Amino acid sequence: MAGIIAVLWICVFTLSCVIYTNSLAEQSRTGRSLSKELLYAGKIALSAHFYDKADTYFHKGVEHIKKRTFENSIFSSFHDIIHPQKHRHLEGKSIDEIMPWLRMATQADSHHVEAYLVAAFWLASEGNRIDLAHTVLTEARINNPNNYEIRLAQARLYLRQGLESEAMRETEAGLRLWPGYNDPNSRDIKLDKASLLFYQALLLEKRGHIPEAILAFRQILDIFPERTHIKNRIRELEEYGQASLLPSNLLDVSLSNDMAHGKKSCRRDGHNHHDHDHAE
Amino acid sequence: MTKGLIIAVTVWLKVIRKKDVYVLLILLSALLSWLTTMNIFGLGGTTRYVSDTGLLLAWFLAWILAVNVSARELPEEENRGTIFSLLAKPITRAELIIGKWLGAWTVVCTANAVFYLAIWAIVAVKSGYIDPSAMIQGFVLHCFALAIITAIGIAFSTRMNFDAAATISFVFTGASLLLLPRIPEFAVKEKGLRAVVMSLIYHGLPHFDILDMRQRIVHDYGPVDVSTMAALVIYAMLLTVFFLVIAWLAYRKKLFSRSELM
Repeated sequence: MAGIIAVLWICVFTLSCVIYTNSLAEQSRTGRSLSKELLYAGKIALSAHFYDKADTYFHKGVEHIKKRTFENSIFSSFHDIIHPQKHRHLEGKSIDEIMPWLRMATQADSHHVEAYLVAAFWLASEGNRIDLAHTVLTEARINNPNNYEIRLAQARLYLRQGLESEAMRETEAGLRLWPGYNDPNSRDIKLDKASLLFYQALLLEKRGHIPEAILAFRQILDIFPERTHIKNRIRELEEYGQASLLPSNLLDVSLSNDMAHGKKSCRRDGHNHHDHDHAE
Repeated sequence: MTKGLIIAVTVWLKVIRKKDVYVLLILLSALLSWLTTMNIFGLGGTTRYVSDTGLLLAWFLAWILAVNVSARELPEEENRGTIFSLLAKPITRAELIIGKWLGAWTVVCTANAVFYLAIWAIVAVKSGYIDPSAMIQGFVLHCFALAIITAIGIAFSTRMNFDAAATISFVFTGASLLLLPRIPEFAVKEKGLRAVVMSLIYHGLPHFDILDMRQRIVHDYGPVDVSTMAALVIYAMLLTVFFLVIAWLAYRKKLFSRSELM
């Protein structure tokens, strides 16, 4: 008995030494103590769980479908009856049901920008509450002052409202903050920069600042040289001083495309929108 | 049967004296009330998260209560020495087991009914709606799941003290509740002996996941058809009887020595 206690004591002592040394190393790296590090990790995990829960609610309670065995088992059949697996999305007013989980996600981790952005997007689109979407994004901005994505989202909201000066201010701020902590070579991050530049270019064009607008369009071409419609627009602006499609019309088209893309985007793999229902 | 009912009544009296149920009910109501006061980006009218969290808590609290009440009964009789006066009466050990199980099960089901009523009331106060037929079906299946859990608690308590029986019951039922539904995902990459073991665990442990209607209630999928309901009730009843038979087999020849127990 005494031997077992001695061995256990040595194990506990060794483990505590290892944890203490690691915590000192981690503290010197991040500036946070072990307890704070654990608390921080816990908050992030909790926030991610709430965000996943919001995603599950968006799919009417259906969790991510993973590859399974025992498909022919009687238990599996009953499981599928009790827990429907069909891919569905919430729509209309019922989209509000995901908001409590997004709120909890942002409360658990105020740096969970994606949760703020998703909440703001659905509040502004299906919820038709642009005022609340602005409130959400303002809170997100206070908690994450260096994030460009929030500025981009806010610019879109202002453009939808026709508030061009505010939208311009947000695009400029967004471009200054881009790419933040993100990888500037990532396609999604580059697409965001292109969007900021595109909105800025159209706003400049609308104000009659054609050389500045052309400059912004050229910056888009630097990122995505294959965009022929941008090339054509630059050519039209250079030759005639105006483009055939008015900037306001192009803005409307672009905003509605962004909205439609946002509504259709789904984090789940193998997602085919022609293969499932969108429930009210 | 009457003797079993009398024993069940004594279980009720003990639980009422201990006040566990009231504490759990207050805990549930307090948590749900706090949730309803949450500011959700200035939006109102969302209640699904309240019913979801409420039902999750109802499952969790009823599970704790079921294991505690069922695993406590027989060891407590033995510790107090009242088992001798009980067995001196014209009562068989099967009747004792059934009486204890019935008492534990009905107490837990009653507490569960109060939990469901509290959830329904809090959701109704927030102008939410829960499909009553799905809710009733969910409650009935939940009660049958609790019948299995209490039978497991009783079965373990026939040969262990309260602490050991409760711990083993928590581990066994906890694995069935949380781990079992994930086994088909874990087993995808397994081959050979591991796959066989996974298959045995999957088909051998009680499937509480098929008795859990929370998704259907919360996300408005409505009730299941009568034949499915009947099949699930029969499955739960068979498992309950199975564990009660095991409890009886373990208890029928158990010898009690006054000097060891007192």
